[in-house]
Amino acid sequence: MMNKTIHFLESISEQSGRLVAWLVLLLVLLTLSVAIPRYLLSNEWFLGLNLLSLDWSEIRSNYSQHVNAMNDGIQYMHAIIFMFGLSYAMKSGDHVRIDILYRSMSARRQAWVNIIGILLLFYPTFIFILIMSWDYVLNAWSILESSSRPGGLPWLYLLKSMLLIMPVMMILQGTASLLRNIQTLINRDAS
Amino acid sequence: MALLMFAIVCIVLMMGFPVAFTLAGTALLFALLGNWMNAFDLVDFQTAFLNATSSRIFGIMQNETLVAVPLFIFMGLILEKSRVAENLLETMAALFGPLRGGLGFSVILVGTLMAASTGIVGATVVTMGLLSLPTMLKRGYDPAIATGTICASGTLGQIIPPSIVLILLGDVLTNAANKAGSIQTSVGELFAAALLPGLLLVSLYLLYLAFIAFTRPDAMPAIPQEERNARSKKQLLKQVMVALLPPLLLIISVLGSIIGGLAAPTEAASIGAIGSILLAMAQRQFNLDVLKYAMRRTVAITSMVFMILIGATIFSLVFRSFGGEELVTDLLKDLPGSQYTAVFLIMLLMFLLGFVLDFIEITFVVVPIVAPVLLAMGIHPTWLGIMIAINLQTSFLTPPFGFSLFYLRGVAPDEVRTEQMYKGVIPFIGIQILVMASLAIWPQLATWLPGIMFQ
Repeated sequence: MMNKTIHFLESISEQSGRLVAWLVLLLVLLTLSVAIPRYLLSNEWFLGLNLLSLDWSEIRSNYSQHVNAMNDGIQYMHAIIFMFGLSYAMKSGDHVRIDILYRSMSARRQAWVNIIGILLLFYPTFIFILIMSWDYVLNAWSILESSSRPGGLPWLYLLKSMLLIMPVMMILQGTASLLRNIQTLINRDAS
Repeated sequence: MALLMFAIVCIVLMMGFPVAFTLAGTALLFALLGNWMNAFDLVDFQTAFLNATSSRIFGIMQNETLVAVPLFIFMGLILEKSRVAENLLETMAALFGPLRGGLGFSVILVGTLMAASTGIVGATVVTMGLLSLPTMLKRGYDPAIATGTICASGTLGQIIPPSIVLILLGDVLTNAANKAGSIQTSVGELFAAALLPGLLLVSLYLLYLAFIAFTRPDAMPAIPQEERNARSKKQLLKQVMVALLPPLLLIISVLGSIIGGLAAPTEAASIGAIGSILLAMAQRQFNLDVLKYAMRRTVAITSMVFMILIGATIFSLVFRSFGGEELVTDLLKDLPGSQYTAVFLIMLLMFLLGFVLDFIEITFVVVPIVAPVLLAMGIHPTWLGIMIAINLQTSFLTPPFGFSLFYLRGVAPDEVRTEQMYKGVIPFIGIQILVMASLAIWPQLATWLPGIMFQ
């Protein structure tokens, strides 16, 4: 039963991490596709080449119409990567510790540090973020808040909702980690 | 109360629970306590500051400068997976091997190049330790010199741009400069400013090794004659073209476009990321597994960095609620002597904190508290950033707590004694202090290049 719960909770973190990983590649490509035209369109020499005799002023206005939406897209992706990635990083044990003492502790001791840490430090943090963000996100939904840039993406309220999704995901992953550490203690006692 | 909280957090951190959660959690427990004591007028705790939590976190989500972080991490991971460092080290060793101390030179030069691509403390030390320490020992290098060289070149990652920590530091210092209303700085300026001091460090490292090779030939012997002949000049030249030039070009183009003002750090980072993929393809090291690995590790490492930023944000909001900011300002302002006394004390504090905290934590927790005060006193933000970077780099080298010593100890064979490692890094610490002193005397070392690049 406990094993099943742990596996279920951890698979949420794992799958969401693997999914947003693809956004890293998209982020690279989108950033490039904003940067390169911007550079070329401001380069006199390149424009002077007059390749294919294109109408540059039309292309330029086209670019400036869409650049804000693309910049918003870059920001959305970046935010989604780390907000969804936080629980993935926790599952894979990537949140750095000061391990001068921790490293030399017995597995039992380490489990105790984690259990106390999760109950006393971890849960309060994410419950706090959840409570503080509730009204903030609700306000954004009530006006369906949109981008502050002209021509930007209209989903700012959705992006803000990550402030509620992230703590929930963290609490779930934290619970999995809590159970896993309790299991370590029990198994040690049994053997 | 604010200072007590700071001290308690440092103690709790030593227990080994993840830093980000400890920072936020301990601060919130203190906030509860403060709130309760407030009711009895025991302390002045202003809960209003805490209301900014969500907008602060959302501010982090919308920060444009920090988009460069995942991009550079991704680039570093692709380069790591495509075995660029191994090939580089092998080529350099073939190139410099015939010289006395040649292997040592190669380690420093490869460390410099690697540094420019990963920038994460530990990664470089571990890689270099695994790759080059066994070879150096086999060739009869003095263990002290071998380990000292590896530790020192591993920490170069923090100062040689485009290091991740310089991006973070640039962002924090920009905010601090806005707050203090002082001269501005930017990530690009910090990169430009780090170039000369970074190269100065590398040259002094090399000079020191050359001195040892000259005075104590048996401490760093050359590769024997018969092995040298195994490879023809033509083969060597080809190897250099394949292994050395592409990564060098990649790093120069990324750095050059930032410092030359052609591209924003984020844009240059995306070019670097694509470049690293092309490079891996050219070396026939690129496939779906490498891509997936790099993308997933990018998600994990990026999230780790931003979690510390979120934790540090909550910590500093509580710190401000306790009036910690005014306290620090008053403390620093009341110091006798000029503003440089304050800088010196802060540097000393950071040096000591470097024994327990990593660069990222110090950047997010300590710098936002002290930098606005120092900048308001007229300290140049770019110069301050470079001083902090070299100072922490020194701290990570210093026995017995320096991080890079721990990392290398973890991968070094048992026959290398820890005392030998300590002995080996001491000359490099001397060089670090020398460079810091030069920066203090001639701030232009840091401010000259960005001054002419960004008017």
